[in-house]
Formats: sequence, structure tokens, C-alpha cells
Amino acid sequence: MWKVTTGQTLGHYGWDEEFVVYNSLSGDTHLLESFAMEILFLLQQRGPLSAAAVLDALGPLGDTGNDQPDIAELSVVLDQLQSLVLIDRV
Amino acid sequence: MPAVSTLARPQLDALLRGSGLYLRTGPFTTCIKSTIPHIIDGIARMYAAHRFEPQADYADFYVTLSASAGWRRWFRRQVNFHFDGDHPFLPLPLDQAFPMLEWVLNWCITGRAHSYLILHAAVVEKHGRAVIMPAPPGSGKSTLCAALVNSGWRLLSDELTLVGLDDGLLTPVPRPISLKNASIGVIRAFVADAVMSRAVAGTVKGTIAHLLPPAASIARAGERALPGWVIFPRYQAGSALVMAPLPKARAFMQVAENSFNYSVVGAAGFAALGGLIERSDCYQFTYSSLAEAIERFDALARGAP
Repeated sequence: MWKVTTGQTLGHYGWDEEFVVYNSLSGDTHLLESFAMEILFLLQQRGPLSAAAVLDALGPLGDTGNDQPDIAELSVVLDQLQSLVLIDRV
Repeated sequence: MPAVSTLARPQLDALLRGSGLYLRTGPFTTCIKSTIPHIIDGIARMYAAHRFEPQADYADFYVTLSASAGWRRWFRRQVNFHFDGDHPFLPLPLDQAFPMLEWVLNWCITGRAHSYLILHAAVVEKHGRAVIMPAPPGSGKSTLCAALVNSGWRLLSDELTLVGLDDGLLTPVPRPISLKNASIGVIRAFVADAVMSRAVAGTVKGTIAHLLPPAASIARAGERALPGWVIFPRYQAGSALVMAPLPKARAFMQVAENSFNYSVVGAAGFAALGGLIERSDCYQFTYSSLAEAIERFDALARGAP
């Protein structure tokens, strides 16, 4: 199960499918693509969630709706977000 | 507040050698003390239109630049910088005293003025909107800035962009424009009546001369500006002029890298920079001709895409 790390406020700005996120625990700023940001928003609103639940909630991506991420792709992004201390395992 | 130019030379000498000259640069007052002729000459020439406070009892920064004592008085004379009883810089050759004063004034602001997000960027304004030009040394930032402010743009700073943490407005701190190496000749050729400080060779940045800022920019130092554009300039000899849009999130990250105190001011700096990028169109700008560059900037100020 994944959740947004306690204390993260996820202050952000978004332009053209890219986001900058302020890490309120480290003071760093991260440049994220929209897929990663959607995961953060989802976990912030509905977490904790399992990877499978995140995948299910995200649904198809892209304009055509055919770009369905798989669990392996999602796991890579989740691990990256964890390494940035933006999310954490419960 | 009277202008430095209202002081007769003996009065200026006496202030700098005695209680200090309380020099106003933008929102800051700096008490400067020095007995070094290069400093006194430099202030008389390059800060003539700046204001000073004749009866001040408070300054934001207190700086003293003095010539070395001991045997250094006689051999390869040096200049020392004293700040609040400390010596934060290594001494430099006495010939570099005026460039050192400029570096010291930058150092005071970047290290202490944390009510602003401070960007390493030139900033100029026309018709109420400012162009912020962050760029590393050697990019042609100061050269382009010098040319623009002698072509109808207002100088806010050639080096430090001060972004208000509370409102995102840009506070001017107009001071002499630092030109290096080939840029000195380029601006002498471009600005017919350019007033410059004595060129000083052999600094860590090569040969340096300072260009007198326009008096109109100094007179408007209390007038803040709205950000309009973030433009990363790059001089490239022989290149065609290219103004390429830069995605805003990328621009944000590049500007943050060019900030002196982004990590110090924390979330407030993030919010201020986000607001600045939100308000600004962002570009990568490559140029080889100052005249063409100014024409392009003027078109932006007129509202052309």
C-alpha cells in the first residue's frame, strides 16, 4: 500500500503536461511528468492504495484512451516517487 | 536625498575616509568606508547619480575596503574587505579595488536580503513589463543588458533580479553594469557616449570595466516592475537570431538553478518563482547581432508574439 509521505504538502505548478513540485520535507523541487503527478494527486485524495488500485483508478492515459500503463511501468514510477520521499509504503 | 554628484570631491573623500558614505542602491543603504583612491574615484564616477543619506544612523550593510598594512604597503599592494569585523574575502591586488567593491555589494545582497528570491539574472523593463535574463557567465547577458538599457529599456539590474516573496514584483537595484573582456569594446562601439570605469586587467574574470547606468533608471529605482518574460540569452558569433519557446516547467527549473537563495527561502521562494513563471513567456534566445536582438526585444514589448 502507498500513501503520500506524512508532512508532504505537494505544493505544485503545472504547465503543458509537466509539473514542478515542492518537496516540503527536503526543500528540493522536482520536475515531474503528468503521469507521476496523477499518482500523487490520487494518493493524496484516496490513499493509501495498492499499486493495483492505483492502476485501476488511473485508467487509460492519453487522448486516445489506448495508452494503458502496466503494473511494471507503474512500479518504476512508484519507486522513483518513494526515492524522492514524496510517497511512502504503509 | 541628495545625489553623490552634489558632493565636492573633498567632501566625498572626507565621508569615505571618515564616518562613511551611506549610499542608496535600490532598496538598500550601504555604509561604505575606504581610503583607497580607486574606490573613491570609482564611486565619484560610477555612482554620481545615486542618492546618499547625509544624516543616516542605520545601514543595511557596513563595508570597509582598506589597503593592506605591513610590508604589503610597499610591495604588490592589496585591498582587503571588512564586513562586520570579519574578512570574508581573500585580499586582491589594489588595482582591483573597484571591481571588488562591486562584488562585495553583490555579496551583501545575495547573502542577506532574504525577503526576496534573488536570481542571478539581468532584468530590464519597457512599457511596464520586465524581461528577466538568467544566464551563466560568458553568455552575453551583461552585454545584451548594456545594449538594451542604452536603447530605451530601463535597467533594474545587470546581475541581481529581486523577486518579492509576498507579491512577485521585481525590485530594481540599478548599479554599474559589469562588462568583461571583449564585451567592453563591443559596448564602447555600440554606445557612442558610453561612460565606463577604468578597465582592470588580471581579475579572476579577466579584464573588467563598469558601464555607467542610465540616470533615468537610477531615478526610477523605487518603481517596481511586473515580470513579463524569462529569456535565456546566448551569444553565438555568426548565428542567426533564434527565439525558441521554452516549456515553463523547464524554465522554472533553470531559473531555480540560477538563484542565489532559492534553498534558503524555501516554500516562499517556490511560490514566488512559480508566480513569476506563470506570468512570463519563456524563451531560449540565441543572437549574434545586438541591433537584431534589440529589435526582437522591442517587438516583444510592443506585444508581438
